[in-house]
Amino acid sequence: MNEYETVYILDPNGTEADVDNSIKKFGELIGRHGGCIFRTMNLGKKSLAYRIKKQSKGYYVSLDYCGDNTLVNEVERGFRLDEHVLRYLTIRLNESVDIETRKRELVEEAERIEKALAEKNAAEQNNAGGEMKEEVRYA
Amino acid sequence: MPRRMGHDRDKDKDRDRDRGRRGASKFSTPRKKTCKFCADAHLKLDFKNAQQVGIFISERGKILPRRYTGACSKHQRDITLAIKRARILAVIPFTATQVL
Ligand SMILES: [Zn+2]
Repeated sequence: MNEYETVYILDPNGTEADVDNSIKKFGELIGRHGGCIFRTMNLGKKSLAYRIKKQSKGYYVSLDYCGDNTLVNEVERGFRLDEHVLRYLTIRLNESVDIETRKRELVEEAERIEKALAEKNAAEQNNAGGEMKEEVRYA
Repeated sequence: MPRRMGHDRDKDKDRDRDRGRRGASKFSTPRKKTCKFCADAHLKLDFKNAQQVGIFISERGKILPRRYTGACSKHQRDITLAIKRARILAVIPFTATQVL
């Protein structure tokens, strides 16, 4: 089992609900082919650096999962068939991961980031900057 | 090779020294020589983050060389990889000429 991260860009004309549905859809696809989702992230609507399929904006979604290399083929096939997906990119994060330990690691990492963010916010109380809107869910 | 005359050599030396000084003042902005990824082990380069990857490219969208990024060779490779991934996902442009 390898750990993969797939980032894909969704059509900007959809709503946040469409993004959630798409995440659910690909989550099920991964589950059906023997994969395990670690976390899904809706990175929000961002403007693209160049136009893709005549769109200059898009919803960025990140899926963190583990599975075999055949799984990646299936998932990418799903992306190619979905016309709302403007672009996708899959990268391998780790080789031969253990699901339980990796899940624990990710939770610890999230806690650390949360703590660091809280410290940073406390340090710059007045400097209320526009923080990136991120929706993180753990499987 | 004809041997150079004494005063010629002195002039060369002067010129070299001048050039050296001028050069030093020209680039005298204090530049960090340390690799910031080595300095902070928790610092991870994320190719999805435009602000993070964007500081390693020039105005024309080119990857900055190590003498500007200050990264060690290992982390410069990481930077290069992150930039190439970010370009595919339209986080940063391939070129500055890509019109919107
Ligand atoms: Zn380094």
